Amino acid sequence: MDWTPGSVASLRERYDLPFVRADREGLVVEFNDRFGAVYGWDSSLIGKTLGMILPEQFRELHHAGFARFQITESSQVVNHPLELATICADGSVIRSEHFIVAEKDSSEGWSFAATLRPLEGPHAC
Amino acid sequence: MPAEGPVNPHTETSELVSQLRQSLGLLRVAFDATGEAMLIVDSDRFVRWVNQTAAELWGAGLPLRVIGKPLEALISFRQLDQRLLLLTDSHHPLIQAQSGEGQDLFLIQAVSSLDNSQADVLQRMVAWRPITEMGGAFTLLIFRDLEPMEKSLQQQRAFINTLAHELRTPLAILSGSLRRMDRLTPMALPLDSVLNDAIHETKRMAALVDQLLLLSELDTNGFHWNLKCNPYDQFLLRWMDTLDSNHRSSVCLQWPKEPQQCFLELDQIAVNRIFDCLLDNSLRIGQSDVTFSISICIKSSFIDFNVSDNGPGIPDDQEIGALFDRFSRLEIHRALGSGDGCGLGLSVVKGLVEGMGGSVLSGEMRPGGGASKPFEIILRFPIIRDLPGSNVAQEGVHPEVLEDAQKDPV
Repeated sequence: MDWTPGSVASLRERYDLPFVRADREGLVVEFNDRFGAVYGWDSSLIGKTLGMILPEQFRELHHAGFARFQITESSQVVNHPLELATICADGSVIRSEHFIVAEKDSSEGWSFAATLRPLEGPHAC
Repeated sequence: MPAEGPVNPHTETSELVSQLRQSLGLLRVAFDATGEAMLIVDSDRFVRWVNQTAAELWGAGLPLRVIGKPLEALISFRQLDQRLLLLTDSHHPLIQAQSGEGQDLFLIQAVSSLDNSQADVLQRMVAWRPITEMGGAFTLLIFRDLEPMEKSLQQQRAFINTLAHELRTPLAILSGSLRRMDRLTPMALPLDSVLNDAIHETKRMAALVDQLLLLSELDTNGFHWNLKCNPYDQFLLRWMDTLDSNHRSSVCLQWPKEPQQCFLELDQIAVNRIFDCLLDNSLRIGQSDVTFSISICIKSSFIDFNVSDNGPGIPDDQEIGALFDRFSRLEIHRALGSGDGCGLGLSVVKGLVEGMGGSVLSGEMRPGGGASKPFEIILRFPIIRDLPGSNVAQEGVHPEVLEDAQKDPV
């Protein structure tokens, strides 16, 4: 697996972009204020699957990818900008550029984080 | 002239009974000889008759092990995505049979083997037909194994589904990388144009893959519907909320003169997709000053959304219905230099509308200004009469609604 220690922390410091992090099971453990402001999610997202912010038709792929990662510890989508639809809390959709990184911690195992750059709507950048 | 001998009523009755028995026996042989499993259930869902194929499948070859049992004690119905259908589910064949005859693909599993492997699950085309002629409400269910051609078609659709899924990830990476390059790396003019073309074409390819995937999910009953019963205007207003101000200004909603509270059972995301697609078509073909109109007409049992635009229209010799065929594109629109859609959008619209129990109809054939007629279609959905919160399953469509809709053409 191609990953750099500190990659999650460096994404977290991008205050100008929405940031979200999930644990090794793909459950959301944190996100920044920008993420809440752009996509409308509140703290009720914590503990829920990351699939919540993906279109329904992508969720199966997402879960399969996560399951595959547990076995192979490799992924096509990590460290690449991905253009994906992102689901907002109200169900609307914003096309966004996701940049996902993965990091392994000796105690907690794998952790996944992403910045999301909205490509349309009032927050487009 | 020979005198007629006295008729023995007993002999005559006996002959009639014998003939009747023989006819019934022949009928039995005919029904047992078919490869299709058939059974008839009564209004309480008890099995009243089976043929031999059904008995082989669910009664170890003995009809008596099946007759008299409730249907749910014998078999369970699942959708192709494995979702178990409860008896109250609007997609259950017995519920659908309340609205008339029809057929659909299901996974069938014998209840006795529910704990066993997936090998016991059969995929069958199930046809249902209400029988009302016999003085009671019965339903005939026919379970047909798919013909080789149908199986081949199913495999082809499954292949397209897999292919589209597999293409999504590389396309998302390609698209994201090109956009990042565009944002971070200023390029000289010719290269800039090349990059823009690459972004544009990748976006088009991603849209094509999305639409192919959606169509294959609709074809194979793999689409996850999230049907909700809401006032009809709420669906439209929620769609309007998703539009940016430019697009919103192109839309003209015409509400009924006498407002009425009517409920429809629709999937909001599907509704958004339908109107997005129609609006996108109108804007792409009609260019900047197009007005996209949705006029709502409420009838006794259904609501019509009359969708039209003031774009260039379609040639007089072109059937509007043909535009809903897959990969159908009009040469006139290509010539306008704006028609770079892939020709699947209207097929998606049709699939989504029909998947929610609606239908797509051609609008009135008003004469156009020249050799073309305006684009106008009607999206018709049955009104849900049972108010939300009532005990009646809201996922089902009232039988009368469908009946009226079928009787009341435009």
